[in-house]
Amino acid sequence: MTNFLSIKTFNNEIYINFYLEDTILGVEMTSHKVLALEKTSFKGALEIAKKGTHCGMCRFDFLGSGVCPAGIKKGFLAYWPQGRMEIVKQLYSGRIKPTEKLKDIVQSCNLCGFCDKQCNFTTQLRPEKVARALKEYVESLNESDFLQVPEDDIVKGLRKIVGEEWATNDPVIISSYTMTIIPKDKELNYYIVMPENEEQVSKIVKFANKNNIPYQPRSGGTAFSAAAPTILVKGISLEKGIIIDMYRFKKLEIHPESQTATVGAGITMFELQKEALKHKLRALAAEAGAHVCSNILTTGIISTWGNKYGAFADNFIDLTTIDQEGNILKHSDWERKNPYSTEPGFTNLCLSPNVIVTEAVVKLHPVWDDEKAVLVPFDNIRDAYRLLIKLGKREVGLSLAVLSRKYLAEFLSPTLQISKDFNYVCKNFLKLNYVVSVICNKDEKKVLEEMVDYTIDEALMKSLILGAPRFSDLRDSEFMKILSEEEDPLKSIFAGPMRNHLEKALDPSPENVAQVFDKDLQDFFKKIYSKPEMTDIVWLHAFRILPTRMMRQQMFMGPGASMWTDDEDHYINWIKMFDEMGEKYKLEHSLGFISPLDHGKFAYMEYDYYYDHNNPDECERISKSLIESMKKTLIMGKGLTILNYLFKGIYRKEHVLYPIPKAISKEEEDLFDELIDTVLGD
Amino acid sequence: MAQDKILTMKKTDLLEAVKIAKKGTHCGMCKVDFLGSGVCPAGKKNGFAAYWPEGRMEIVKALYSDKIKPTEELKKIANSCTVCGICDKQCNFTTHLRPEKVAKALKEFVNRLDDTDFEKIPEDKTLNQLRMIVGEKWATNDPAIIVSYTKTIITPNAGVNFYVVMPKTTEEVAEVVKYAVNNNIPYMPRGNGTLLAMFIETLLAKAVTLEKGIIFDLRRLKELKIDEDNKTATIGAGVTAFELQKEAYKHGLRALVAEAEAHLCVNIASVGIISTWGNTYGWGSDNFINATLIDSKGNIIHHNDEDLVNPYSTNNSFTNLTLTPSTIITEANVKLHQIFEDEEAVLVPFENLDKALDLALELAKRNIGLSLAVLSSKYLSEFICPTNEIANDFDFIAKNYLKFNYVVDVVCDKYDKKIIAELADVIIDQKMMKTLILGSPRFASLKNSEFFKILSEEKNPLKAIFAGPMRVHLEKALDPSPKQVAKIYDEDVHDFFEKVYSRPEMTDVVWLHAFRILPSRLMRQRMFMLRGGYIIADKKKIIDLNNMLNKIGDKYKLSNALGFISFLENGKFAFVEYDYYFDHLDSDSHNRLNQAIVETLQLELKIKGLLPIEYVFHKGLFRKEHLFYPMPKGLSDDELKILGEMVQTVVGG
Amino acid sequence: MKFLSDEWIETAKRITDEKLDPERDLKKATTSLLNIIENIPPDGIRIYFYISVKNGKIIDMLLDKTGSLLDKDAEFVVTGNYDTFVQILKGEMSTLIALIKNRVKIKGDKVKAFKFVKSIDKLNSCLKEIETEF
Repeated sequence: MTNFLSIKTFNNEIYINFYLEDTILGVEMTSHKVLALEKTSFKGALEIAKKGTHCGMCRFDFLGSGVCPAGIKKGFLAYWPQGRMEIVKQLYSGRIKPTEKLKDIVQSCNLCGFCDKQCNFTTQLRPEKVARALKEYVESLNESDFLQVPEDDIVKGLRKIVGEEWATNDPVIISSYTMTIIPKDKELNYYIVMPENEEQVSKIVKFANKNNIPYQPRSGGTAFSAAAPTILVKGISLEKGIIIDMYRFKKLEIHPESQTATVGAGITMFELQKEALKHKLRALAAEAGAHVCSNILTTGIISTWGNKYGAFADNFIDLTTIDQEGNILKHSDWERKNPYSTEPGFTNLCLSPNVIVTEAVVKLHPVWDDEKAVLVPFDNIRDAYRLLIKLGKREVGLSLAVLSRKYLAEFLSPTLQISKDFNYVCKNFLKLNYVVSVICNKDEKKVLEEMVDYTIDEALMKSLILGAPRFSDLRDSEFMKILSEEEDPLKSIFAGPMRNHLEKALDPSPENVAQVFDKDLQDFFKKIYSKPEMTDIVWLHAFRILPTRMMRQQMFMGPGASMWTDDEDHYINWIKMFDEMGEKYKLEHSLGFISPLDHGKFAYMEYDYYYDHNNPDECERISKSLIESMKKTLIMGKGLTILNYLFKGIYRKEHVLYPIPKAISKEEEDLFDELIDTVLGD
Repeated sequence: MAQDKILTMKKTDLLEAVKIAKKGTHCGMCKVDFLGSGVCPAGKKNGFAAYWPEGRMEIVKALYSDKIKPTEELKKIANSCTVCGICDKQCNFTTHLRPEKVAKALKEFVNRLDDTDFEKIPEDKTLNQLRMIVGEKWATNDPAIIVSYTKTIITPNAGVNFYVVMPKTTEEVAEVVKYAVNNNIPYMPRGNGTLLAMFIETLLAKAVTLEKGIIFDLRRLKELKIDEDNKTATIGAGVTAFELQKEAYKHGLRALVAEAEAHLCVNIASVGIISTWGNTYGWGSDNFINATLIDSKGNIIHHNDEDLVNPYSTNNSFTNLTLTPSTIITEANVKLHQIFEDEEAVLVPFENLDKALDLALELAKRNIGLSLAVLSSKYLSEFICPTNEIANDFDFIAKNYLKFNYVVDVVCDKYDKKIIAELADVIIDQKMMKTLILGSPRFASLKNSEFFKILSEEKNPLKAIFAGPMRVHLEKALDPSPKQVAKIYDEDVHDFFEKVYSRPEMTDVVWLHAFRILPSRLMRQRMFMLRGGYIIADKKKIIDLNNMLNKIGDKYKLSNALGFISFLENGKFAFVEYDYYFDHLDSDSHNRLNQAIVETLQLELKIKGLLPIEYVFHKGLFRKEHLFYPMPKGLSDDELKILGEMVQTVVGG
Repeated sequence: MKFLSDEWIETAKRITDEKLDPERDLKKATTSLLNIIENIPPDGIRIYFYISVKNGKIIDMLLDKTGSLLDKDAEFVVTGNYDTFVQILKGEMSTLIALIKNRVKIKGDKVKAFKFVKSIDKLNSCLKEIETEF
C-alpha cells in the first residue's frame, strides 16, 4: 500500500495520520501548514465545490467570453474548473494526497476569471475562488508533502499508444473525474488516457482486453453526473480500469452541399450549432454542453426538435465506432453485423455503452428567415397535451414541446431564488402552469394563432427574461392579487389590458438582470444580457445553454422516457403517476417537458425530481422513486422507461420504439423486483 | 393432318385475339379488384399467371407464333374461364381493351382440338422435388403456364426451360431456394411484374430477366393484418397496394403505396416506394419496421436480427448497379399513417416549370402537404381522361389555350390549404377536379370553341378559367356527369361505368392519390419508359435535367414529357420521373428508345447530385442515408467508359 | 487451488451439490450455460466452462480449452474477459450488473436469461466459498 495522508479535525485539534504499510502512526501535529487548511479560503472553497453539480458548462465558450485556457491546453479534467473543484473535495476528504502533478495543475491556472463568468451565469458559483484556494494550499506545502507517482506497466503501455503526456495514473488527476465517471467511494484504481484518433482508441481497447482491465469512454460526463448520486451509479460507473477521455477528438466540418456535419467525439453541441449557423443550418439540438457523439449514443438526442428533425438513427448519416474487441466499424459498412437493430422489451437494459462513438456524420437542417417562437399558456396539462399532440400529428412547428411552469421558471430566471419567485407567481396568481412552446415559420404561426385564444409572443418573453428579478416584488404586489381574482388571469395578462401593467411592473432591462449577479460581474452580465441571443427564444431553443440551470446548486433526476400518444388518458395518468411518486417520497418535483416524435405517434417526457445531492437520505429517496416509477411505467404499458431508452441512440427508432410495449405480466413484475434486489444487494 | 387443322384455325380464330393481346402492356390491373366488381375467379382460384386475363393474352400470342404447342394444362386453363366479363370491365377502364374476347377465342380454339393435339409433358425430377415442397398444385413446368409469364419476368425469346412455383409461406420459399442453390438452378422472384414489364421493353431486358430456372410467383403469400396499436400492417409478398390500402382505410389509416396493382413488399424492395407522399412518409427503410427475406443461400433473415450482415447499408457508387435482386422478400411490417378528417386536394396550375418549382420547393421544405408533387399537364391528362384521345385533347387545350403546362398537386389539411391559398394565384380545387373528370369527354368539343379562343387571349387564362368568371362557363360547357363519361366506353358497359363514376371515390382526388388506380393509364395500348432519378432539390438542377431529357426525347423522335416531381427528406431531394412514350409493337420505336435510354443515362451520370433510377433499383430496403448521402459527384469521361464496358457485359450483345 | 483447474471443478461440483437447494436456490430449472472466458493470463488463452442443470440439480460441470464444448449447444452462451468472471466470482460484481454494463455478452433468449439471474448469483456465492487462487 502506498502512503496515505488523512487530515481530520477533532476537538479543534488537527490530527495527521500516516498510514504506512498497514501500520498506523498517529502523530499529533499542529503546524501552520495544516492550519492553512482551516483558513476560510479552503473551507469556503470546499463549500463552493460541494455545491457544484458537474454541469460541465465551463468546458466550452457559450458566453463568448472565453474558456479555461489551462483546460484547453492540458486536456485532463483536473485542469478545468470542474476538475479543480472536485480535487478540493477529494483532498479534503483524504481520498487523495498531493502529488507532483498537483503542482502542475495549480500552476496552470492563471486566475483569468473566465470560469467565474460562465459558472456564475449558470449556477451563481465562483469557481475561481476554488482555484485560488487550491493554489494557496499547494503553496503552503513542503516539497516532501508531494508524492511521486511511479509509472507502472499499464500506464507505460498506454503512453506508448497516445504519447507521454496523454496517459496518466496520477491520483490527483484521476480523482478529478469523480462523479462524472468514477463513483464517490471506490479506490482510485484507474488510468486516464486521452487518444486523438480511432486507431489509438482501437489499440487502447485491445490493450485493455489483453490485460484484463475494464474500460469506459467519457465525453461531457453530464449524463453520468445526473445519475451518479443515485442507485444508477452501480450500473453506469466504471469500478476500476481505463477511462478514455474523448475530449481531443476535435473534428468539426460542415458540408453545405449535403447539409451534413462531421463531428468528433470531443465536440460539444454548442460548438456544432455555432458552426452550423454560419451556414444557416441547424443541428438537432441536445443540451449545449453535451458532446454530440456521446449524446447520440446515450439518448439519440432528446430535444424539442425531434418531431421535425428526427429521432435515433434518423439524425445521422453514419457513425464511426469502436466495438468491444477494438474493431473500428462504421454504420455504413456492408460487411459488418447489423448495427441498427436491438431487442425490444424491458430486459434489454444496457447502462454502459457497448461501443465507443468516435465520430458522427449528422444531418443539418435549414434555418428559415421567418422563424418565430410562439408560446401558448395553459392552466392544465390535458389541454396543453391535447394541443401538443394535435400539432405533432399535423407536423406543425420545427420545435414543439409542452414545458412545465417550473421548467420555464428555471430557464427564464437568472438565479434559483428568482426561479422560485417566478414559479410562485405563475402558480398562485396567473395559473400559468404549462406552456406549449412552438418554433415555426410565419405561416404556421398564423395557423397556430387561429387554433388558440391567445399566445405569449416573443416581445413578452423578452420582458419576462429581462424583468425576471422583479418577480420577487410581484409576489406581494396588489396588482397580482387583483389579477388572481380574474376569471381567466392568463387571458388578462397575455391578451388583455393587464399586459402593459405587467411589463411596467417587470421593468425589463439588461441592467436589472445584471443586478442579481455578484457586484464585480454586473458590468459583464449587463453586456451579456444586451446580446440579442439572450432573449431570442428561437436561439435559446437551438443553443440550449439554459437547461443546466436545473443543476444550479441542486441536482435533479429526470426519469420518464417515451410513450405512445393515442390514448390521452393513459398518457395523462402516466404523468400523474410521476407526480404521485414525488409526493410519496417527499421530493420537490415537477413535469419537465413533453415533446412529440415520429409524426406525433410518440411523445418523450421528462419528469423532474429535485434534491440535494449532498444529502444521502434524499439520494436514497430519489433512487427509490426512480425504481418505483420505472416499475409502474412497465405495469402501465405502452411506454419505454428511461433505462430502456439509454444507449440506444445508435439504433433505428423502428427497432427501439416498436412494437408498442405491452403491460408487463405479474410474472414479469416479480422478475423486475428480483432484478432490482440483485442490484441493491450489492 | 392435325397440324394443318391447327394452322388453319390459328389464322382465323386467334388472329383477332392476338391483335388485342399484342396491345396489352402488362399493367396488371386485372389482378386487383379496384372497381369493386370482382376479379377473374379462375385466376384467384388457380393462381398462376396463365389463369388470369393478362396471362391468357400471352398464351394466345405464344400459340399463334408457334412458341408452344397445346398441352393438357392449356385445356384446363382455357376452360377455367367462365366468360364472366369481369376482366373486360377492369381492362376497359384502364386500357380500353377487351380481354374477354381473347379468353373466349382461346377457349374455342382449345375445344376444337383433338386429344392427340395435346402434348404430354414428361416427368421431371426437379418438378417432383418442387412439388414436394409446395404441393402438387403449386409447381409446374407446363409451357402454357410458363409462357404466360412472358414480359413480366422472362423475355419473349426465352424459351420454356422454366419452372414456376407458388409457395404459400416464407418457409416454403426458403426451402425452394435451398433446393435451387444445391442444384445450381437459377431463380428469380416476381411480384406483379409491372416494373419488369417496363424494363423488358428496353435493352435492359436480358439483364433484368431470368434466362432459365425457377420463377417464384409470390402471389400466394397473402398475409394481411392491421395492427391498430402499433399502426403497422404485416403483409405477405402477394398483397397488392390496393388490398392493403383498402384494409388500412377501414381503420382510419393510410399506407405509403405506389401503383395500386404493385405487390407492396416487392415494390418496397425494388424501388423503395416512390410516390407523392414521400416527403411526409419517407423512402426505403423509413417505410417499414421489419422485413423478412430469403437470402441467396436459402436462409430466412429478418431486418431486426442483430447478427445479420448489415441489411441497411449500401452505396451509390456507379459500379454498384443491381439489376436483379439477391434476396426474396416474403413479408414486411409496414408503417401506417394517420388520416385526418379535413384532408383536401389543392392543385395549383402553372405555365412554366420554373414557377411551379418555386412553389413546390417552398412547400416541400416547409413540409406543407401530406402528398406533394409537380405534375406535367400531360401526366395530369392521363389521370383525368378515360381515353388516349381525350387525354390528347386535354393536353392540347391546356397547352394552347390555357397556358397550363404544370401543376403543383397537393393533398393537405385545412391549415396547409390556407397557407397554400396565400402563396398561390390560382387554385384548382376538389370541386373543379370533379368537373374535369366527369366532363372530360367534352374536351374535344372545346378545342374549337369560340369560348376557348377568347380565353386564350386573356392575359392570365388560368386565373380566368379556374378562379374567375369563366369558371361557370367551363362547368357549363363540360356538362359533367357520370353518364357523360360512361358514354365513351363500349356500349355494353355503359351502365356499369355510369355506376362506377357515380361513386364518390372516382372523383375524390385524395382517394385517387391514396389508391392510385390511375397510373396504369400511362400504359394504355402503348408503353412508356421512365428516365430520371433522385436529385438534389435545386431548381436549376431539376430544370436542366428536365430540359436535357426533353432534348434527347425529341432527338430520337419519341413522344416525351415530364411525368412528376416528388420530394424527400423535407424537400432536400426530389425524384424526377420523365417519361418517353413509344409504340411497343414497333421495332423502330424500340431502337430509338434504346438509343435514348443509353444517351440519357450517360448524360445523367455526368450530372453532379443526381442518382439515376437504375441505381435506385433493388435498393429499397436500405436506409436512404446510405444511398443519398452524399449524392454522386458526376462521372468523368473515363469512369463513364468503365461503366459502359460493365453495362455491355450485363446487357449482352 | 487454481481457478478453473480440474481440482477446482471437482470441488465446485461437490460444494454445489452440498450447499445448493434445487428448489429454493435454482428454481428447479432445466437449462444449460456455456461460459467462454477470454484473455486468461498469462498467455491470453480461452477456457470453456459448461454447466447443465436439470430440475434444479447440477448435472454437468465441464471444462475445456479446445472448444469442443461448443457442440453441446448450450441454451445460453456467456462470453467475457477473465477479469469480469473473477469479479463476479469474488462477489465484487453481480451477474446482472455485468450484463447491463456489457462486460459479458450473452447469446440466447435474453428475457429467459434474466429469469435465471438470481439463481446464477446463488451459484456464484456458493462457488465463492472455494479457496481459489486466481
